[in-house]
Amino acid sequence: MEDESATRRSFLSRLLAGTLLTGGAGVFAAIVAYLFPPAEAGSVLGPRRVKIGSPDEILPGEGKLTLVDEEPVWVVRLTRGFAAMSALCTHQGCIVKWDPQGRLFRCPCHEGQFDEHGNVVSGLPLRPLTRFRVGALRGDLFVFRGDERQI
Amino acid sequence: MFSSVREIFRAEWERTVPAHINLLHYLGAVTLIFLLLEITTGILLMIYYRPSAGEAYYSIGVIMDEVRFGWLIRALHRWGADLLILLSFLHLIRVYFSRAYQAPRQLNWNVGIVLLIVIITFGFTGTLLTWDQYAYWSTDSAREIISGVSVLGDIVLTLIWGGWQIGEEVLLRFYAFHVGVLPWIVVAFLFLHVLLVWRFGIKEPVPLRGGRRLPPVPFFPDFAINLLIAVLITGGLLLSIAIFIPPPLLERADPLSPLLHTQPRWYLLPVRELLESVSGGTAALCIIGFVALLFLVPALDRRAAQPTWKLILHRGIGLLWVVGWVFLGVRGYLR
Repeated sequence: MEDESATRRSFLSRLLAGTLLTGGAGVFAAIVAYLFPPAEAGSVLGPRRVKIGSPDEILPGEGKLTLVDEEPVWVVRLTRGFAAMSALCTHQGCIVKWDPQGRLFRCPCHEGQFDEHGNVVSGLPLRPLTRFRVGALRGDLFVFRGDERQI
Repeated sequence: MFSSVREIFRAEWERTVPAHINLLHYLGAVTLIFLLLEITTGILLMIYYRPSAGEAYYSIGVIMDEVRFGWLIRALHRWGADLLILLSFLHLIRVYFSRAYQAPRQLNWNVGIVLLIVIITFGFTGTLLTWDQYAYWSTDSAREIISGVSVLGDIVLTLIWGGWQIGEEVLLRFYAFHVGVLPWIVVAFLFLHVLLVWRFGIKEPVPLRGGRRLPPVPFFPDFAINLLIAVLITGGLLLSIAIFIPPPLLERADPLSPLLHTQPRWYLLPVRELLESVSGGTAALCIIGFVALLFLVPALDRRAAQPTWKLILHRGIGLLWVVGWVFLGVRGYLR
């Protein structure tokens, strides 16, 4: 009787331990997979740095048109620091051009004009250009995606 | 030192529980496991969640659509919270009807009531965090419910809402409560609750008339295996719900587009129905009276042996509570 009881107990112990271990392993694997974010999650949850070159490439007052995640972005060197904004006109999505003399972004389609900070100066656009954070880090110039703001 | 640790383990290994316990006695342990599941999935969700009005909704979308198993973690957290509240109610009802709040377990009954209130507050604060239309307007509806309760409503609104309309500040406030304040309270009270259960054990049920007392059975394997079965059944139910019914995520919250016919969460429906039926002052009295009475139950029913009429009265009051609460909830839902 004593032996039977001990056998039952040890059998149930193993059953319990086996169930918990198997279930636990599955849960653990799922949690580990969850902790490794896929690239899509990273780009959406940003902000993410996109390297666009060296600060010295852009002379004061000049601008550089670059692609950031397939979106055309103007990076302009101001008197102090840099400004980066989407090159897509907020009127109909044409690509604006930087005019270093007038210090304006001009839209070739309907003559909309924006100042160096992206604010509407004249023309048909109602909203300013979308601005991105931009900054130099260890000798490289970066545009930050994921926290762009309309001002 | 190791031998004393071994002794403790040996003593726990040989622990016994009353033989008369039934399935309902596993509710407490299952509730505890669901609470641990909520804590675990909650921590995992925090990794990707962004607590701001601009990003909260999108981060939930990323969890649902991009992160591996993110949809499952969110579904387990969301439906698990509902099941946790339901299980807590059922556990409370079981303890009430088996009069397990009597000496020496009076304190544990009161600790359990506090835990239930905290768990409901968890559910309530968590609802807003998805920042979709339902989150916004159901919280707004709850705000109206709470503001309708005289005196008490204002206190709760100022404490939880900070007195603001729902927006970024309230979202952050709810988030702070949900992940920074309530977990500490729940862990402290849960520790005390489990400690008291461990200290006093499960109350031995009174054997049926004519039945003889059976000798206690070992905690392991008898209780442990049944507990595992109970956890597998409830866990399987939760997993099935999580897989087959993804938690809804409506459009992003828009304060200018009210969502019509928004119901508050099911556990708040009886309160809303109460407010619809009586004045704010009476509702406040009812709620305070109900909670106060719950805390006073062990003091009102102290003697183990009571005359039959008192036992019938005890069951009648309990039944009235449960039926009344369910009736108010169903009426509120159908309204």
